[in-house]
Formats: sequence, C-alpha cells, structure tokens
Amino acid sequence: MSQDTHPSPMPDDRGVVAVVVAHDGEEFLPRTLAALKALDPRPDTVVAVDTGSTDSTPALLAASPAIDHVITLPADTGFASAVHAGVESVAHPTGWLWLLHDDSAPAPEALGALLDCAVDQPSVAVCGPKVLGWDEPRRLLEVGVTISRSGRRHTGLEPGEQDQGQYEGQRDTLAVGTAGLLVRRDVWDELGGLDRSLHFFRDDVDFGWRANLAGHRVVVATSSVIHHAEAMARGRRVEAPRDPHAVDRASALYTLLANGRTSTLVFRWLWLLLQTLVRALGYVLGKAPREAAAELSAVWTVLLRPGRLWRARRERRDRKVPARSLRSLFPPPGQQVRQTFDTLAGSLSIETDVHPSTILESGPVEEDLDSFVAAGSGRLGRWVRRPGVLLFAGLVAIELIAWRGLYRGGALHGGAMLPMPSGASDLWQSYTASWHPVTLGSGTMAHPSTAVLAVLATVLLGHATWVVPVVLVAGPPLAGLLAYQVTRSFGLSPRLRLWIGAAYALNPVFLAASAQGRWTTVLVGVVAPLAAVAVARAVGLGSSGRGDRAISVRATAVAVLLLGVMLALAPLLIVPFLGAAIALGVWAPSPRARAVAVVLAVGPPALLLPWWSVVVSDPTVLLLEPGVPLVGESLAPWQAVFFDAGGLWSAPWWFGLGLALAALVAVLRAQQVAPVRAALAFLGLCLAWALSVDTITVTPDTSAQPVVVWSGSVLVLALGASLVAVGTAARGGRMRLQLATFSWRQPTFAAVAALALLSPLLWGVTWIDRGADGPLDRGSANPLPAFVRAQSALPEQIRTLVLEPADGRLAYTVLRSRDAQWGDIETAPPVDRLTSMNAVVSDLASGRGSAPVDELVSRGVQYVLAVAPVDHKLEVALDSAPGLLRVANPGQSSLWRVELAAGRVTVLASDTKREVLGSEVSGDPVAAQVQVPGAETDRLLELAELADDGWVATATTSDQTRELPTPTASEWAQRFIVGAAPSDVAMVVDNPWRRVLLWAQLLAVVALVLIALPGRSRPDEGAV
Amino acid sequence: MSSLSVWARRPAAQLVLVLLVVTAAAVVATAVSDNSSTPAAVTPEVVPVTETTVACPGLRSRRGFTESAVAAATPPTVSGVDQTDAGSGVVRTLFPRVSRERTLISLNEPGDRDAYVGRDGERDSVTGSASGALAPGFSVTQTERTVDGAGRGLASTQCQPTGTDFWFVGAASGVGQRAVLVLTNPEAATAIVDVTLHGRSGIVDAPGARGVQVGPRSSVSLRLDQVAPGEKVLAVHAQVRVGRLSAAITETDVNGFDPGGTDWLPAAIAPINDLVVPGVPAVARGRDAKVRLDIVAPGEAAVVTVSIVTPEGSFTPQGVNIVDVPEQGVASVDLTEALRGDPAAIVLSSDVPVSAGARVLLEKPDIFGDVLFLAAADPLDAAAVVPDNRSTKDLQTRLILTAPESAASAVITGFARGREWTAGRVSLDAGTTKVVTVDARKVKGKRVDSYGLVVTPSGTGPLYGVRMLDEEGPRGPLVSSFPLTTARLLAEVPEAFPKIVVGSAG
Repeated sequence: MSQDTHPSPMPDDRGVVAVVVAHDGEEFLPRTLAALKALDPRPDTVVAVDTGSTDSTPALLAASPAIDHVITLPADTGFASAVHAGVESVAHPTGWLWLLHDDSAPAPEALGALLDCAVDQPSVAVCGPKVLGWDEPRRLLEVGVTISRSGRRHTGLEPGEQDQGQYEGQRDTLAVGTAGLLVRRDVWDELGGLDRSLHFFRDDVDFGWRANLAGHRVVVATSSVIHHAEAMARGRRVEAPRDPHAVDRASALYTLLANGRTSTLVFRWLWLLLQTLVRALGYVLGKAPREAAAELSAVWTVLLRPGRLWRARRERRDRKVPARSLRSLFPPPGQQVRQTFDTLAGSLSIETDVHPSTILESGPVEEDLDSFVAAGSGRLGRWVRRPGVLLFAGLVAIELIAWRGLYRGGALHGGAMLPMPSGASDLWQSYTASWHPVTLGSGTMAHPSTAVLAVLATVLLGHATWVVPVVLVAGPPLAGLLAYQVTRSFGLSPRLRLWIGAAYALNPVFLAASAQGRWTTVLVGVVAPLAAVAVARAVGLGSSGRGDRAISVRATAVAVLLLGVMLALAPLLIVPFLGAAIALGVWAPSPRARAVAVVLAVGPPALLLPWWSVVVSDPTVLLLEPGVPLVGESLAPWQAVFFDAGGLWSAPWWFGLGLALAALVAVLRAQQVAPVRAALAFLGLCLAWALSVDTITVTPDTSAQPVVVWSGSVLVLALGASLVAVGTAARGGRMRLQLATFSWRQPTFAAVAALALLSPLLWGVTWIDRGADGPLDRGSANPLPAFVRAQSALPEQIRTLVLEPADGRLAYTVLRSRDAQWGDIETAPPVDRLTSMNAVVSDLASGRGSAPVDELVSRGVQYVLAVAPVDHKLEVALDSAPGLLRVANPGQSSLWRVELAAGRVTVLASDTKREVLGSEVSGDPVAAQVQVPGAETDRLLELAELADDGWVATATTSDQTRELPTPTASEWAQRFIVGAAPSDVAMVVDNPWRRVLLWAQLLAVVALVLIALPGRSRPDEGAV
Repeated sequence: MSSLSVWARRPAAQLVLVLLVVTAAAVVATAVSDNSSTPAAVTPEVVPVTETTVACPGLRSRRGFTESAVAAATPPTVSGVDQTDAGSGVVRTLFPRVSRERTLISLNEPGDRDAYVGRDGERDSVTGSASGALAPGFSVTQTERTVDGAGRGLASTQCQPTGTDFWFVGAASGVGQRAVLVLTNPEAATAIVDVTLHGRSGIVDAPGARGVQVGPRSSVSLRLDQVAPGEKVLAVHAQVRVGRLSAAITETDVNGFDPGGTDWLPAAIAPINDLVVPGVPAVARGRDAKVRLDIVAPGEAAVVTVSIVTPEGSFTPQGVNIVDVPEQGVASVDLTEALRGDPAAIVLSSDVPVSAGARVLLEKPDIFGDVLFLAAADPLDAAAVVPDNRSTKDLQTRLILTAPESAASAVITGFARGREWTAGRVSLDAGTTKVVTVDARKVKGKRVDSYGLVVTPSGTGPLYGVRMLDEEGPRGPLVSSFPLTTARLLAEVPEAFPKIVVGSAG
C-alpha cells in the first residue's frame, strides 16, 4: 500500500484524543484512571463518556485528574454512539483517536508504542494493542481479532493461553478490539466511525474490516499492552443487552453480510440461514429455548431484513481493495471444526475430571498426580502421561493380545453368541417387529437388549457386526478406566485407584463372558461405574450449593437410563436393583433421596415396558441373559464367593481369593466409613442373589432344555462393590497401622494386601495366556448350502429342517433364508406350540418308513439337513424315508430334498391337493403378498406360520377389497378362506398394542435423554 | 444380651459373623444346587416300521442252465408289533415305465411267504415293497442255481434296502474273474453314484466308475473287469451322491474252460475298528476249502490283529495273526491252513477303521468247486428273516452262528403255509461257533422243502451268523451264503425338540 493512495496530510503533531466510555464501572475505573494517569506519553485530551451510570462512576470520572472533560449520555446509548459523541465533543482538530473502555487499563507505554507503530508507517490507519487479562496479567486475551465464517469472533488463541512472547512483533489483522484501538482521525471520518447499528458486539470487527476494505492497514503492535477485564463478556457487568445472545448473533450475521463479497452474497445468506436453523435446533436439544429463540430472532432481524442489509452495504460500497486480498486475515476453513473438536474433548475431560469429584464427600480430595495441569505445556504430552491413560493403554494392549485368536474374517459366533445381522436397520426392524421369522414364526416381543444393540450399531454407523467385537475388546479397558475415574471422588490415591481399575477390567467374569460371547455382561460392567455415579449424584451424596435440585433431576434421569440399559442387558439385575432401591428408601438421608429411590426402583423396569408382556407370560426370562443357553460343565455355587462366574472357560477360582479376603477384612472398617458400609451391603446383596440363582436351572417357554442361569452380571456388580469397599477401607490404612502398636494386625493386613494385589495380576496373566476366544469363534456358523439359501430367497420362501442328534434325542430347527442370528433365541416360538412339529420330526427321523412328507411340505420344508458329524442311524433313516431324496453332501453335512414342492403360502383345493404360491419378494421377511388363481369354490389359503390372531389377510379382487375370514377349526398354521374369484392377497401381522407400547418406550427414552442432557452453563465465547 | 450386643459391635466380631454367614450361604447354595444341565438319557419309543422298500439285482434265468428265483416273506409274529393294520407286500419287476411292471409276488398277511421262479430269458430288475402290517420284517432274497456252464454254482443274496453307502470287499477282476456291480434304483428320480475301487496298492484309477448315473426305476451293471481289469482283489465302495438305490456285486470265476463258481458278494459294514466276519463253513469229508481273508483300509494304513472263533473256542492263528494293510489298499491273507476245515468266524481288531470280507472256495479234488463270499457283519440286534430256505436230499440249509464275546443264544423259527414251528434253539458259549442244519418239516401232512426262517437272538451277548445253502451236486459242491441281518421290524422314534442353534458348540 503506497502512500499515494493516502493523500491526507501526515499529522504533524501527536494530537491524540482518548475517549473512555464508562458505564457503571466503579469496580474497574480506579485502576483504569490510575493507568491513564501513569501513561507516558499521555493523550492530549481525554474525554470520558458516561452512559447514564447509576453508581459512583460519574463522581470518579469527575474527580479524576486524568480526565479532561466528561460527557453524560442516557443509559441506552450504544458504545458506538458514545464514542461518536465523545469525538464530536472535541472542538479542535486532532490527528488520532484512541478508544478505551472503563475496564481497560493501558500499560504506561501503551500509547507511545501504538503511535510509534502508526506514525512510522503511513499505510497503517488502525493500530491495536496486545490485550492481556485484568486479574491474570499473563493471560492472553487478544492479539487482533477476526471473524469466522459462522460469524464467531475469532482470536486465534487457545483458551487460557499464556503470554510468553510468542506473538511478539507487529502483525496485520482484520480488526482489533475497541479497547485500546488507535485510529487516524481522517480515516475515522472517512469510514464514518463505528457502525451505530451494531450494539455491543462485532463493532470492532466491522470497523477493522471496513478499514481493510478501504485500503488501510489494521495492525497489532504487541509492544503496546492493555489489561482488559472484558466485563461484559464475562458477565461481570450488570448492564447488558436484554438478550445478549440474540444481539450477538444478529451482529455476527449483520457484519458478515454487510462486509462480505457481493459475488457470494446469496450463497452466504443461504449458508447462514441453514447454519442458524441448525444451531437453533441444537439449542432446543440442549434445553436452551432462549438461545434457540435468539438464533431465530437473528434470522428475523438480519436475514429477513434485506432493506437494512442493503443500506449497510451501500454505506460500505466504497471499497478500495478486492475482498480476495484480505483472505489471509480470516481464520482458515478447518479452524472451526478443530475448535469444535477441542471444545468437545475439553467438555469430556471435564465430565470425567470434575463431575465425579463433586459427587461424594468422603474426605478431602488429594491432589492427584493427574490433576496437576502444567501451564503452557503440550496438551498431548500432558494427556499421555496421565495414569488413567496409561492404565487404559495397558489394558487395551492386554485385550488385543487376548483377542489374538479372533483376528480373522467371518461372523462372530459360538458360546452364547449368535451371528449379528448385517445392519442396524435389521436390528431395529427385529426390535419393533410384530412377527419374527424364526422357525415357524412367533409374535414374541424382542428382548430389550436388541434395542441397546441397535442403538450401539447405529452409533457405529450401522455396522451391527462391529458392536460385539468393539464391546468385547474395548469394554474391559473402558470399564477399568471408568472405575479408575469414578473412584477418584472417594479420595483414594492414584495407586489404589490403578489397582481398582486393573482389577475391575481384568476380572474373571469379563474373561469368562468374553470367552463365552456374553457381550451383555461386559457391557453391564462398562455401564455400571457410570450408573453408580449417576445414582450417587441423584440421591445428592456430597453435593452442596445451588443447582442441587437440577443436578439431582438430571442425574436421576441419567441413572434411570443407565439402570434401564443394564436391566435390558441382564434382566436378573432387577433383584439387586430393587433391593438397593428399597434399602436406599429406608435409610435415605433426605426426603428427596427417598423420592429418588422410588424413581430408581420404578423407572428402569418401566423403561422395558413392551417386554413386560413376555415376562408376564413367562417370568423365567427375568433370570436369563439373552443369548444361546450354554450346556456344559456346571458351576459349583460356592465359587461365586470368589467372583468366579462360570466354571466354563474362566480363571481358577482361587485367583480371586485375595480380593475376597480383602473384602472380608474391609468389614473391620464398615462402622467408621460410610462408603465401605454401603459397598459391603450391596456386595452382600449381589452375592446372595448370585448364590441363589446359581443353584437353579430354569426352562423358559422358548427352550425345550433346562438352562443354567448365568450370574456373571450380578458378580460384576459384586466385584465392583468389593473393590470400592476395599479401596475406601484401605484409604489411609498404612498410616493407621504404622501408628498402632505392633500386633497380629500388621502382618495380617500386609498379607491380605499382598494377596489382593496379586488377584488382578493373576487375572491379567490368565487373559494373556488363555485368550478371549473359547467357544467364541469367528467364521461361518453352520451355514445352509449356498444353493439352498438362494432357493430360500425365491418367492416360494422354502425352509430347511436342520437336524442334530443330542444325547439320544434329536434337536431340530427350521431355517428360512438365513442362519440363526442374534435375537432368535428370545423370539423363538414357545416350545408348546411346536409339539406337532416335534412329532413330525420324530416320525421322519425314526426311519420307520412312511415319512411325513405332507406335514413337512405344509410347513414349507423343502430340504432336510443333517449337520456334521452325521449320525449314521439318522442318515440311514433319512436315506430310507420315502419322498425324501439325498441331494448332496455339502461339507460333512448331508442334505435331502423333499420330493413334493413346498412353499410358505399354499392354496388347499382339497385336503390332499396343495398348490404353492409364490410371494412377492420384498424387504419384509414377514409379510406375504400372493396372487391366488381363480377356482370354482372357496378354498383355504394356508400360511406356514403359527396361527396368531394378529394375522390379517386382505384380498383384492377385480371389484372389491375385503378382509379374509379365518376358518373356525383351528390348525397349527394360519389359514384364511379365500373366495373363488382370482385375487391378490396381502397377509401381514398387526399388533397395535405393541406399537403403542413401543412408542411409549421411545417417548420415555427421548424425554429422559432430554432431561439428562447437560444444559448450557457457559456464556458464548464469541461475546465481548 | 447386652454383653452380646456389645460384643457384636466390635469389628473383629462382625468380621467373624460375616465370614460365618458367607460360608454358610456358600455351603447351603452348593448343597441345594440343582444346576446340572445335562438332561437325563431318554429311551426312545419303539414303533413297528410302516414301509419297507428293497431292491434286488434281478432275475437272470436261462432254461437248462440257471434257475433264478426271488422269494419274499413277512414273519408271522414279532414281539412288540401290533399287526392289526392292513398292508401290502409285493415284489414287482422294475421298469422305467410303471405301466410295464409286473407283480411277481403278492403277500396277504404276516406269515406269508412266496417265491417266483423266473422264466427263460427273464432278466428284469426286481423291487419289493411292503407297507402297513406287512412291512415289519418284510424281506426278499434272490437265489440262483446254475447246474452247468461257465457260471456253474449256487448264488444267493438278500435284497438290500435302498441306501446311499455300500461296501463290498473281496471281489476280483483278474483273469477269469468276472465281477459285476449292479446298481438298482427303484426311485422315481435319477441317482448318481461314485464308485471307489481299492486294490492291493491303493485306490485303483477307474474313471468309468465316477458319477455313474442310474435312471429312475432302472438298474446299471458296471463290469469291474472292464473299469479296473487285472486286480486280484478289490474292495468296492459305492457312494450315492444324489438319490438312493441298492447295490450288489456278483462274481463268476472260470479256470480256463472249467467253471470256478459264482456267488453274490454280501455288503460289508462300513469301516470300523473291531469287526467280525462270520460264516466260514465246515469242510465236509472229501472236500477241500480255500479261505482268503481280504481287509480294506480306506484311510490310513492299518495293522490288523486276526483271531478265529471255532466250535472249540477262539485262537490266534500263528503266522497270520497280524496283517498290515497299506494305506487305502486291500491286504489278503490265506487262512486255509489256520482254519483246518473247522466252521469259524474271523474276528478282526484294527488300529484304524477297516472293513473286511472273505472268499471261500469249496471243491472236491478233480471236479468243479463253488465259491462263496463272506463279509464283515453287524451282530443281530433283533430277528433276522430269511424267506427262502430249502431242505431236500441234496440241499441243506445251515446256519453258522458265532458268539465271539460272551455266551449267546437264539431261537430258530420256521414258517410256511401259514404255520410256524420252532426249528431249533441254540446256545453258544462265549467265543464259540456253532453250525445248525435246519431239518425239513411236515406241515399239514406234507413235507415242506421250502420255508422261511426267523432267527431271533434270545441272549445278551452279540450273535453273528450266516445262512448257507450247501448242495452236494453230481459234478461237485454248490454253495452260497449271506450274513443274517437284523430285519426292519421296529424303529426307534427319537424324541425331537426345537433348538434354535443346531450344529455348533453350545
């Protein structure tokens, strides 16, 4: 920028007029005035503008020797108007204007440095100082400001960044703050000064932007320093616009649109509109309706006022430089994303750092290793050296080693695990379906764990097959980390908490659960620490001060949600939960805690609302976790005392001896320490329940075999409780023992401590040694031969009967176009609905001759598969069955084809004549849509699904549409009477009652999430 | 009381209390625990079979040379079978077009037996099927007697139920040895069969035996001397890939221009580790017998221990007691010397699954002899039914029974013309063999020389046996035999239950 473009005469004197705008600034003014007085050089004239202060401000200004004269304006005067009034009050011409706030204290050399910078460089018209904190004089607030694409005021500094001279020197910038802004008088007049229509916000950015566009340079001279309280932005000034957020947003949009390039104006307008709407939505979700309204009002006041914008742009039409050349003065495009991410990461760490520490007041919180935040040191380095992070990394390493047997392709299955469906949408469909295509079909409500699974799969971008590997690999380390974080509020030493974290993550229940594919148990263990925190906060343990009630309501919502999730995953937890809630209700410290206890007792079970229909008809499901019932070596119940959940594929029981002993010893401290008492009580509750359920087998309606109850989830809670008990009991234990006289205690406690330390060590070694696989495996799980699968997907929707001899009996299943998958166990048809099918299979496998081919065909069975290793007797029987022909040996299994054509939908002209109808292939595996050819009489339309009242068939003939009646005689299959005329028949299941319950559940969850979401607690950083 | 409560407030006392409570709870829980998940073994229900289908390799009558007959029978009464249902039992010729089939035999009620003797030139495949009350124990045999010519000899076989896996051990395709595999498909769909041939040194390359197609209701004859010529011994494994059929092998030997005997090879059981080859006949005075044992190891090489069960007891034959069978190959061992003419069963014990058969050549010096084949058999679980037995002046029906492990006994019942009689009771000591010659019997004042037999094991020990026909012909002996197999009388109905996850761990 050459001097030629600035023909205005160089001011030959340093005629500087300083304008101090003050409003109710008695808190800051003394220091500001003192600083003004100490200035060297000083401004020639200092004008103070008081905008209707009601405190001692006018008196302070009048008394100050640093002020030449004071102007008083009404209270509703904006900053810009105040400055203009101040400037105009000076009669004599001046070379420079210097703007100051009542809460900005310039350093003595501030003005001199600014003048040095500006006078030496004629191209510089605006010059600003380095702004530092008022109370923290080393904290950087500004070295020039700019504006982001969304209108956010952007300083380019990290929050809390310290001034270490890292920005020293002079730099060009888009704008400088109005506190300490030095501007050439002629340029001020040329630009028309500050835009009066901008109240409080963005006036500085707008001014700098205009100066830049007019071809003047705006620079920051860091040799000039000013301390600024930013009273308004930090809420320290009482007087503020009625709705600061709305004014802020409106100013932001106005500034962007008034100064932005004309060529992209329309695009920018649309972008800002969209962005504003999205932000408004975000505020609604964040339970900040006022902010949302502010966003929307900004749309109204700026975006939908083209006249105002047009006027503003007309005033700014005199542009000397192309907007493109200013590009370097704006933040880079990725800046905003990065900043958002930083904010998010910060809020997360605050969550885990701060919240737990506020929940329990069990003693003075020690200064932790990890709570020491070194000023200015690298964020990454700081983060990596935290013990929690190191613990997590170590646990992940152990987990990755343990997982070694499962690094290969194929579906995860085996043990309790069944292959997952491929997408989250399949899971949602399965959860909400009224009918499940499992064997002969059933209308059983899906297990609530399916909903949890579906949510997780949705979070993982719809990859349902990732959920279980993620839960099993990341679950234990995450549980350990959470245990470490949560126990911080107990005032334990980091070393003790590391032991707790490691013991919790490596516990033998997780090991057995991983090996058995019981991801639900692992997930329960991950959620448990969070739920414990939420419950503690809900009952108001240790919290004090204002906002208690809000915290409690929010925490209660979180607790209900998390406990509901745990119940969904492991319904048998209902007993310890109810027990704990009752205990809480009885011994509650306050009425509010009593109310919370009631909510916590009722809420989580109520969240599983639609599933209670299943529980009512078959209460045994309450005792069972979802998944394949495992048959095998059964557990001796006493092992539960040592946290050994299953004799199957676990660590030796005595590895848990140390922890069990330590928990026992913790009884000694139960009288003195409340958390020990509470934890031990919960431990006792869980242990009693685990011992009880370990002694029984149950036979749910959907299983023909008794199922051993898996108490792992209860034991995880027991283990967590014992760790808390031991940890809190051990706090300060060493000191107490040192103070006491030497007796049997010291060696005993030392031995118990050593044993307890050994437990996680031994468990960790077991993890690494045996690996996380076991019955859990990867690969193909008993697939149908590819051609059978392909044929099953054809319109006839044929099925395959799969047989497997088991201890002299014969297990069977009926597969449709897919293999068994997660959720099928719980949604299988009740066994007593399948007695006729049992007889058919028995008859077929007996090999006595007349094979029940008709019966097979009526059930849609086209193929019979005997899985490897094929039982010789069964093979001979099927080989000799008339009407059944061997097709092939796929792998080691044997396959037979039923010679008659089978299908899911058939028309029965008479008792013997059966015609298969092809159903239109659609995404819905349940609904059927067929074309029934015409005939002379009414016929029966048979759908090879178990008869159910929910089935509705609608027939469309050439002249009418009507619902088909069902025959009075009941059969196992769903039948309809179809008329003589050719018709299109659509068959669907309708279960309106379930739909209502599912909607109710969804509403309850959404409501809880909204209540649980953290509200806005901090003012917008963009505000000044 | 107060001192007790004071005591209970002491931490140490609480610790002791907690320890006691936890221990007690754990002990009680363990004691009352009822969480064994293995269900009790169940005994399946037993019902009579309701349908039986068998297929015979077929008639091959030639006037003046070969008299070929099929006979069918359903035993009179079988314990546990309630024979009140109506039913049918027919033997028909098999032809791709059903309309051209002829009914050869039709049974009316349990206890019926009938035979059909083929006319000159009749060479049809035959299938037998029974349903209802006639199904339990329905069995069909085929007997051929050729008095002269290259195929001189007595041959008999039990028509096999259709199946998918067949083993035959001991055929040969050497010079003068013509073995034919007959595959009979009574079903209405084409069957596809893979035939694997094991020779002395392993699997014999025989492309012609792969993927043999057998059309619906028809049969295919595969000449082993054409698909794998020059093998002194062959084990034949027929595996049905698609469909279902019945298989049989006939072998006819000639020595130069002299007949060397003929017979059907009985199907051997699928390879297992321990097996019994019953039915080595006694050698009558004036006869010679050559006995050759053939063992096939379809997988790994096998080391087989051989012992012999004779009427005097069992012994280990010196020199031939250990047989090494090459991988996928067949090993033969000559037991003529060891047997010394005694009736016997051969007991084999191997380290890997094997199957076995034996070839017995009975001859008189300087005149023609006849061959018969034995095969590893299953013990009799229940009654065996043989419809066609003869007792004439020259032709005897013998049962060679062996109880290799423990004492066993059997009841032999004859039936003909609506009557039944006990033809003998046999008890065998452990590790012995017995030969029973069934006498002719008069029924309704008439001597029956053709009758049915039911052999019912009545003891506990496993019982093996063969039915042998033995004729002293004018030009030398005519012999044939086949193992007694458990008739399809009753079927076990397994209890079926639904289980979502079938076929994997869990």
